[in-house]
Amino acid sequence: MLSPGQRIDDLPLLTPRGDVTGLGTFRGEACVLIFLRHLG
Amino acid sequence: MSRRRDELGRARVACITFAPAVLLGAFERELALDRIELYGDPDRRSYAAFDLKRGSITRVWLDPRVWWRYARLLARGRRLRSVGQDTLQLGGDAVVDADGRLAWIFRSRGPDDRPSVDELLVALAGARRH
Repeated sequence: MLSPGQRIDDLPLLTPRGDVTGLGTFRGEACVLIFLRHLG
Repeated sequence: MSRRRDELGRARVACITFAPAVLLGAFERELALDRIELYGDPDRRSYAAFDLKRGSITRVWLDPRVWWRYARLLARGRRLRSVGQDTLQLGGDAVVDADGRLAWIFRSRGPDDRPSVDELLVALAGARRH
């Protein structure tokens, strides 16, 4: 289980425009990730 | 969160959903998110990596706390829709520091179980100190 202090893998994410990016792009500034439940 | 976005300062704020990619654009337009980014992860790899679980039917659909939350949403004018998505998948919130390390995480135990914005602000301040 991922715990505080551990590095986050660069997992792929899709943008609303269909591009592929990754969690690795979030480095450089602290960020907040909000994992949603279903949309609707 | 949108109402208090300014308090988060320069921090990037990203919402991640497992909804089908084709819904992302419409959802982004509907919510008109301000400085909150939206990303899709239909395979839920990030959900698995952050150990965000699926809830039980009892906790997700039969718990009075959930119905109370839905009642409040309806009272505020929100419409509930059939979504065709996995309603048992739970969410969570995480703060990642500038080096890409997990600084703080909140794993929801039910649909109504989310941290307050104040808790996020404290976690974010902690991540910035390191």
